[in-house]
Amino acid sequence: MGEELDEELVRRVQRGDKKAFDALVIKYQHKIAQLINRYVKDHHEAMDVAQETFIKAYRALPGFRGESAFYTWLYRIAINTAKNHLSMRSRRPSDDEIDIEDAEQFEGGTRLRSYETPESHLLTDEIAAVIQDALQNLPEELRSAITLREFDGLSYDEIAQVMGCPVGTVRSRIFRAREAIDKRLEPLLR
Amino acid sequence: MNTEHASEKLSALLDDALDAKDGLTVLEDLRGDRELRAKFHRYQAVRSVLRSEGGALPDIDFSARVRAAIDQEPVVLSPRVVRHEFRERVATFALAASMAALAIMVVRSVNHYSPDKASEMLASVNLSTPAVHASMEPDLREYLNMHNESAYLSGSQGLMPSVRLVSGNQGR
Repeated sequence: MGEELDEELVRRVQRGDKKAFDALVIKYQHKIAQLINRYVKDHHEAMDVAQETFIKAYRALPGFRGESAFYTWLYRIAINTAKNHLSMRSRRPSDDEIDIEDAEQFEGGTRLRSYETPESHLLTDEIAAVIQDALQNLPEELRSAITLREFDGLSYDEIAQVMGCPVGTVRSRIFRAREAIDKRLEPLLR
Repeated sequence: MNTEHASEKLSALLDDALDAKDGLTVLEDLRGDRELRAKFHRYQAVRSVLRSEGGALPDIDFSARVRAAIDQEPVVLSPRVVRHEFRERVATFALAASMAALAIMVVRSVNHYSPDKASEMLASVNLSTPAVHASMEPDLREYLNMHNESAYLSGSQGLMPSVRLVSGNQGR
């Protein structure tokens, strides 16, 4: 379903609708920012590179023919932009080349922590503690649903099969789990 | 849109579980609603932590900055899509025209070599003219007649001109 939405948005942008591109930015800004953060340690620099990525993508969209998924294409632009940025600043890219296939299987975890600035590391620790606590205090069915989604990466259909309930119930449980966690998180991220 | 309803769709958007129609609606809401964008930002933060993705997240005004930069860009259109469509139309027309021409040729060929057509042509040849009639011996005429008729039925072109000269059996 996500690809169907992206295809429609891309078609609209290619017909001159800039608002549709805005929607694509909103949808993918977090993923792209985190991807670039793996290469560019400084947060502000990473956001500049992320912005540059989206501008490059906008300019290149007339030539996008949909031979790959939009996000795959955007992903490549982000990696190239990040590496170019590092080259221009005379920093060597990481010795282990992160190809797109490897990047998609990238676990993150302990390796990523070495890229975090002290500021963001602190924020992540505080947020992580609140989230973990909120997660543990969720009703069982909500905790199971969001755990299956976020830790195990299962789709709604798969979760429905595991939990023996309709897809609509899965969707509702995941939403209510996020809402419960969000109530604890909101004061920290105002 | 009702806030809870919008938030539920936001949650589904995060999981790529919205169809295009609903997805477009929610994204349009996000563009215009800062509070909703802030919530989407927090949902993303929760995901990042639960998946141990770490790293810093963009602030909620990131998309507005990108929008401002894009507003300075010229509107993009996809001319390659237009040209591609034109090429497709031309190619389709050419193919259709070729097929039509081929069909006409085939029909003409079939008519040309059909027994009915052959019979007509045979009938149309006036061999009762004294010059032709007198130039042939009866046995030879009979022989050639039988040969030509069988040749026509098998579709042999090479004997076509010969009909006019040698076929002498109009009465058959």
